Amino acid sequence: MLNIVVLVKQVPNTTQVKIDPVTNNLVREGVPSIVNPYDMYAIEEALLLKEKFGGKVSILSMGPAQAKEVIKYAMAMGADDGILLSDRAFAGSDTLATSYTLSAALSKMGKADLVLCGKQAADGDTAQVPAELAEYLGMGCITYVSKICDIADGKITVERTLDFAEAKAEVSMPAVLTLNKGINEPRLPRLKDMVKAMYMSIQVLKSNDLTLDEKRISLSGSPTQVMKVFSPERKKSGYVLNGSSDEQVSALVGELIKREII
Amino acid sequence: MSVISDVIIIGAGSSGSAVAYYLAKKGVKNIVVLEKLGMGSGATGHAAGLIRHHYPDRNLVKMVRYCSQKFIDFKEEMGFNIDYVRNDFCYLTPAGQKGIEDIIEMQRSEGVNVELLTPAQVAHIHPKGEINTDGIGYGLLDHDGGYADPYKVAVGYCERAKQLGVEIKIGVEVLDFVVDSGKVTKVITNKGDFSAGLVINAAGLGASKLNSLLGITLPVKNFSLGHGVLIPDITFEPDILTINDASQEEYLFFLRPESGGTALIGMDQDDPNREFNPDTYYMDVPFNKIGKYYEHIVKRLPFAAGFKLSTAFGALDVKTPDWNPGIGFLEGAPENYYQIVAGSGHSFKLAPVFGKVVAEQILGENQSFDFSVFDINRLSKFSDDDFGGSFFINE
Ligand SMILES: Cc1cc2nc3c(=O)[nH]c(=O)nc-3n(C[C@H](O)[C@H](O)[C@H](O)COP(=O)(O)OP(=O)(O)OC[C@H]3O[C@@H](n4cnc5c(N)ncnc54)[C@H](O)[C@@H]3O)c2cc1C
Repeated sequence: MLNIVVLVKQVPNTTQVKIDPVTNNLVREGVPSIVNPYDMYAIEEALLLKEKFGGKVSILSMGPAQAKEVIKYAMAMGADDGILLSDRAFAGSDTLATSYTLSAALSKMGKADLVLCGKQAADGDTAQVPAELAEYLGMGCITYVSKICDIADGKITVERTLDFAEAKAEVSMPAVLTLNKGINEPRLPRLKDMVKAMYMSIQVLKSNDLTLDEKRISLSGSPTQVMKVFSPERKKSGYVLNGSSDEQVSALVGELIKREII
Repeated sequence: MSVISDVIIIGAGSSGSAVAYYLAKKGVKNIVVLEKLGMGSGATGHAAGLIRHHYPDRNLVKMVRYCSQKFIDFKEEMGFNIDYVRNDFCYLTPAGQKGIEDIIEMQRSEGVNVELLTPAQVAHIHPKGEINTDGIGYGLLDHDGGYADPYKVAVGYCERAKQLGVEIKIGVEVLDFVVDSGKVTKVITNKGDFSAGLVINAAGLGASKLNSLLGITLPVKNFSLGHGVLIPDITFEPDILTINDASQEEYLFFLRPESGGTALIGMDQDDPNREFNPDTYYMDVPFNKIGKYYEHIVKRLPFAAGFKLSTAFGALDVKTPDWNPGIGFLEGAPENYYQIVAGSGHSFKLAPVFGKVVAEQILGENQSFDFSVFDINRLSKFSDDDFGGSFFINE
């Protein structure tokens, strides 16, 4: 029996982002939120482990009330319960303050054997929260897991895939793992599961439900300072192939061969 | 750049494309279609493509009969495949609704092959499982229903129109008009000026903005419809019947087969209290609202309970208070300015008749069908308070 907690973040659905035709700014208002795509693998892996070993899958998220929607989605996939940390007192948290707050919630939730996370969030891309959280909880942490090989004798063995290496690793449980994209194929919810999830309740925790050091939460507990947000400079510009379709195709194939792409 | 032509059509949706083709077929030269994004990129490209005959108005029934034959013949006539599939279409009415028998009688007299089913018959009409008939009055089973790919229909008309000499300009957005002595003398775009003897506004969601440049306001509103693509856990053949459940006003939906063994559901996501601005519109599907929908669908069609939801999305169309489009020369507007506006959620299937009759009207010929239900001048009697209902039931 495994008690698994999956950390889930709601992120804006960037495939839908629109540009305001007048101001040329991103239209943020009303952008639908989705489960951070990387977290989908963590939810799926938790459900697969539960199917194999028995136990329970809980979802933990921190965010605005709207984040309930992504917890509901995880419940429709098969999660058993969900907790949302939502309070103005958490506003402005950086990764350190977030992982501290999440660790307080995990301590309150009781014994977890495994904490599963996506490898990073699609909006911030920092990949810092899981390792920081493990530190706060005094757990081991393995990042970039591409396969869970075995769970036995209180230990979990995994394969990791990094940019330039593959590794096998072992850690005692409880532990925090971050999972690579593609470790599994996240399931789609069935209509009846969506209906069931609609009736499931989500526990919302506020700052005074947790034992917290006020100096370590929200903006004041966040050492990170964002100096500037900017779009990366475009280094190379493309070019257009001209001529008849035949000429364009030969030019394209020639270019691909030249660059050793094909 | 400055281009002079006979007819300018603004918008290459199902309406504008069909009109371009029919005008060209009648020998009109120098037609230019100006499209800001791409053929069928507006409401047309998001439409479910349902083609069926259930309308309570005799004129509309005559017109959809004509249209559905045109879709059947499309490939042969236009040389373009629109993925037309013929299937039965079962429309479920709410219990207690009056006058259904008369409507069926009228439709039959127009040659529609429609059966009136009792709830007991409805229960067994679906090959994949029983239908729960709580709250249902009748099932109207249209044997001549079908569906096609609306995007391909727009492209098909455009491609054929091109062969007939029509110029389709993609990436050209109309920004303003110059009016002189009661006529539009210039159409100003991001790619230069165009002038023509006749200007046709078929700009869908962009039509009101163009009208406002000419000081025209019509009683129209944008509204939203939602779709979900489902992956069935049972075989779901493309010619399985479509169910259109109009029995419960809050949860109007249809379920039809989609290509590749999937299924498509459509939901009425209109919210009279919300302004739908196309520039900033996102289809957010609040879990509670959509969950309630799925609950209704699963109750009505228990065999769909295990269908998986792959994606859900929404799109906008423009409506009028009586849920019919507005077509024609508007009194008081520039005399060479014609409009085909406010598709009202069901104008894809009417594209062939729009093309045919609009061409006739513009050329001053006898009209094959009575277009008074669409007359744009009728809209002057409405105000903003007259909106209500849903295109699923009002049509
Ligand atoms: C989700 C959904 C489902 C639907 N399902 C069905 C169905 O099953 N059956 C049915 O019959 N109908 C259905 N409809 C309705 C149908 O899609 C529309 O009524 C119809 O397609 C409208 O066509 P249109 O050509 O008038 O407008 P549009 O398709 O919106 O075309 C307008 C075109 O004008 C262009 N444009 C706009 N402004 C400018 C400008 N300033 N300059 C240049 N170009 C411009 C746009 O880019 C667009 O391509 C559905 C609609 C929706 C939204």
